Amino acid sequence: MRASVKPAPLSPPPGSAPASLAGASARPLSAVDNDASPAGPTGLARKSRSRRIIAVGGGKGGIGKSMVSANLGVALAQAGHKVLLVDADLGGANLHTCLGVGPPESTLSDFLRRGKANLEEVMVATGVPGLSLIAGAQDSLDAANLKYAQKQKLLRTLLAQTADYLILDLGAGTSFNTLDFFLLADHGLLVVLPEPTSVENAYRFVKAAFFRKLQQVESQYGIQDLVEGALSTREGGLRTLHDVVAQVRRKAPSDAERLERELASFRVRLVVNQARTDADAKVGAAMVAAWKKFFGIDMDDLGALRYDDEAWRAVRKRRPVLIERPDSPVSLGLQRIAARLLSLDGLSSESAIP
Amino acid sequence: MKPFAQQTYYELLEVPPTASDEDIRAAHQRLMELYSPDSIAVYALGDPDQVDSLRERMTEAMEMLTDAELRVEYDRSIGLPTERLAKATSAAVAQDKTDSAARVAEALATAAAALAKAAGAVDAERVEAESRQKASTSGSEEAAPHASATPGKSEERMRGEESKRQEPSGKDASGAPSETVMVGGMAVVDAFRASFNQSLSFVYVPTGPLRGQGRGNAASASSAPRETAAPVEGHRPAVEAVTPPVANTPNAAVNAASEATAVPATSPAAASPAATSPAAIDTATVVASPDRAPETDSAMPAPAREEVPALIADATTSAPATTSTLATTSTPATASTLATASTPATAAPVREDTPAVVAATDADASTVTPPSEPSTGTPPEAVAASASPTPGEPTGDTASAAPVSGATAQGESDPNPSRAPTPAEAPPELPSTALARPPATGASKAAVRPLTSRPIDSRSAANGRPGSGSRSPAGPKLGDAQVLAQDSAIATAESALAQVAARVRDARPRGVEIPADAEFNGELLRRVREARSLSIQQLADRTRISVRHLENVEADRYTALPPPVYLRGILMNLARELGLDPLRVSKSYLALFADKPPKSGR
Repeated sequence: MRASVKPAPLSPPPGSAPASLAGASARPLSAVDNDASPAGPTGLARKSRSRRIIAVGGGKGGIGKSMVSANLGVALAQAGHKVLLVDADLGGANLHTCLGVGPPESTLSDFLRRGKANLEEVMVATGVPGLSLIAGAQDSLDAANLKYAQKQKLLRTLLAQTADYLILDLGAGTSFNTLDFFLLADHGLLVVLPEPTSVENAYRFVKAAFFRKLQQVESQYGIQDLVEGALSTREGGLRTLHDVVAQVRRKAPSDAERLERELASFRVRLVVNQARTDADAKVGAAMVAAWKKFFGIDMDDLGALRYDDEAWRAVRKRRPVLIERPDSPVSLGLQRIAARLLSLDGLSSESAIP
Repeated sequence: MKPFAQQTYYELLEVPPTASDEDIRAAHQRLMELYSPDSIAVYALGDPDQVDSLRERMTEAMEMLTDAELRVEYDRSIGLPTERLAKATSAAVAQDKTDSAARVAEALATAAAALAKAAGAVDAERVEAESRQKASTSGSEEAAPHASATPGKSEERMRGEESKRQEPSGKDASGAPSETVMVGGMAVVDAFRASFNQSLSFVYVPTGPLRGQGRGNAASASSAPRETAAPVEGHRPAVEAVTPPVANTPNAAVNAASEATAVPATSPAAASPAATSPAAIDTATVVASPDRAPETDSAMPAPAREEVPALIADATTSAPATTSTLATTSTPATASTLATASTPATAAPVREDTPAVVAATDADASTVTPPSEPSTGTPPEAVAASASPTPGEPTGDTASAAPVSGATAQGESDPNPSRAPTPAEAPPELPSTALARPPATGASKAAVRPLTSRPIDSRSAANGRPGSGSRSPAGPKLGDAQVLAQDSAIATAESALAQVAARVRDARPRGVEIPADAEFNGELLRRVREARSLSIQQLADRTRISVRHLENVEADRYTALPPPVYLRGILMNLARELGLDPLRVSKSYLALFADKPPKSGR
C-alpha cells in the first residue's frame, strides 16, 4: 500500500505552484521520518545513516539554544561519540562563539553558495575531541533566506553525514527553514524558559512544526484543503489537528491511523532552561501534561537546567560551560540531558556521566 | 488522540478508573494549579476560554467522581464494570462515617425512651419468647450450609439465594413441635426482620449521602474487606426494601423517622396489647429479647432484669444514652442468643468473633447461619459495631413501634399494611420479603468479611464466663464484644447526639405540602429547600453538587444543566437531602426537562 502511495508525491514535485514546495520538501523528509519506507531514492541515504539528528529549537530568541547545542555536543563527544555541530541559525549564527572558535574561515554559506562539494571542507575543529563544527553563515546578509534548492542540498548532505550525532542549532522563529530542520531530527529539542514569552513561542513553534508536518504529508492523505484552512485561521492552532485526523478518518480510517502514528512519531523533547526555582523546574512536566491533554501528542521532558551564573560567565569567556565549570549545576544538568538522549537512543548512558 | 471535550472524566483528571476519592481530589487540585490562569506552563497553549472550559470540565469531573452515586452512574454510562466502583467508594464512606454516626445517635435517642418502657412491659413474655426463638433458630440451623457456602457472593446472588432459602426455612418452621411456637418462631424472625428494615429506614432515609455510598458498598461487599462498608451495606438494601411502599405517602422519606419520634409514648402501649394477637406476640418477642440478651451477654445466671441495669451502668452515664444502650445491646444480643441456641455444636472460639450484628442478621434471616462466619471469621470492628447498634437499637425501637409495621401486619390491624414486611408464611412470592432479606445478608456478609483479631476479641476471650454450662461459649464472649463495640458506638453517638438530634429534626421538611401529583420543578424544589431553611451553599456543601448546578436546577434552566444521565444523579441526591423521594423527584423533573423547550438559555 505504501509503495503505491509513495510515488504520488514523488512524481509531481515540480508541479503545481502552492503544493510544490511542501510536496517536494516532503519527499526527503517524510521518507526519513517514515522508518518503514522500503525503497526509493532515500533508501540510500538511510542506509548510510547510522547517526542521530538532534535539532535544538525553541521559537524565541535568547533562550539558550546555542548554549544547549554547544554543550550537548561537548557532552556527547566526551561520551565518546563523533559529533557534528551545525549552526543552522543562518541569520544569526554564533555557535562558534559559544565553543570558543573564532570567526570561522569557512562557513555553511561557503558550502551553499560557493560550490564546495562536501560538508567536510567547511568543518571546523573545536578543540574538543570528536566534536566538529560547521559554523553558520557570516558573510552574506541574505544568508538566512535559503533558497529551496540550497535547502534541499543542505538537507541531503546533512542526512548523508556519518557522525554519530548531528546537532542542529536552529534559529528563532518559525520559518519553514527552521521547521524543516526541526522536523528532520530524531530528537526535536525544544528549549524553553519558564517565562510566558518563551512558553508562548515554544507552543507556537511546536504547533507550526506539526502543521508543517501535516503539510508535508497532506498529499498522501488528501487533506490539502484542510491544512490550508487550518493554517489560514487565526491560531487555527492545533485545535484543528484533531479535526484533521477526524476528517481523514472519515475518508479512510486506516489513513487516519497512519497519520496519527506519523504525527506521534515525531517526538518533541523539552528542555527547561534557566530554572530558578523548583517550580520552574516542573514547568517542563506541566507543559508535557498540558500538551498531551490539549493535543494528545506526547512530548518528553528531558529535565531542567538550573539558572547558573557559571553559564553566563562561561559565555563571557567564550567557552562551553561544560568544559569551563564541569561541576556547576548547569553542567550537571546538561550531562543529565545528554545521558537521557543516549539512553533514549539505546546507547550506553554510562559513559556520558563522568 | 482525543480532544479533551471527548475525554472521559478519568482521562480528564488523568486518574485510573479505580482511583480513590483522595486521588481524584489530589489530581483535580494538581490540574487546577497546572491550568490556572497564571500558570506559565499553559500560557498561550490554547485559547483562554479553552482552558477555562477545561478547568470547568475538570471540576465537574471531580465533583461527579467523588460522589459515590454519581460515579456509579457515570461509570455505568461509560461502560465501566461495576466492581471497580466498589473500591472507589470506600473513601467516601469513610468520610461520611461521622455523619452517619451522628444520625445514628439521633436514632438512638428517639428509640431509647420507647424501648425502655417496652422492655419493662414485655418482660413477662420473656420465657415464652425464648422458647419461640429456639424453635425458630432450630429451623435456621438447617439452612446453614447454604449460607456458609456462599461467602463471597455478589449482592444480587445473595438476594436470589435468600429468597430460595426462604422456603426451606419456612418448612422447617412448620415442622416445629407446636403450632403456636411455630407461628411464634416465624413471627419472631419476621418481626425482627421487619423491625430491622424499619429501623434502618428510619435511621437512614434522612441521610442523603449515605445512601449513595450504600450502593457502592453493596457492590463492594463481595470484594473489599472494608470495615466501614459494613454499616452502610446493611442499610442500603434495607432502605430499598422499605422505600417503594413508603413512596405512596407525601413525606415518605421522613415517615419512618417522624413516626419513631412521635411514637415512643404509644409504642409501649402497642407492645402490651400485643399479647392478644399473634402479630403482637411477635412484637413482644422481639422486644422481650432485650431482656434475655443481656443475660446471654454476660453469661450470668442472674435473671435478665437484674442484668440489664448492670449493663447500663457499665456502658453509659447519661439517661438517654443509657436507654439507648439497652436498646442497642438488647436486640443484637437477642440475635446472638438465637445464634447460640441454634448451633451449639459449632466450634466456639471462632464464633466468638462473630459480631452481634452478624448473629442478629443471621437469626433474623433465619437462613444465614453462624457456621458461615466462623470460616471467614468476623471482626467486631468499632465501625461495624457503631453501625451495628443502628440496626440493633432501632430494632428495639421499631419493635415497640412495630405494631405500625412489621409484626402487626400479620394481625391485620395495621394502619399501614403496605409498609409491613410480609409474614413468613408467604415470603417467597412477595417482593418485599425478598427485598427485606438482603439487608441481613449484606450486613452479615460485610461483617463476616474482614477477619482480624481485635482487642475486643482478646478481651472477650480473657473474660472467662462463669456458669451457663449448657450454652455454647459463643454467647457470652459474643456479648462482651458487643458491649465493647457498643461502648464505642455510644460514645460516638453521644457526642453527636446533642448537636444533631435537634438540628436534624428541625431540618425535616415541614410546612411544605406536596400534593401526591405534584410536579417537581425547580420552583417546588426551591420551596422545599427554603422550608428546610437551607441555603444553596449549604445544600451544595452537603450534596457536593455545585452551586451552579443547584441554581440552574431551581431556575429550571434546562439548557445550562448537564445531560440527563448526570442530572438524574444530581436530582436524586438533591431530593434525598431534601427528604423527598429521589425516584419521584428525578422522574418528575426529568420529564419536565425532556418535555419543555428550554425556558431560558445561558
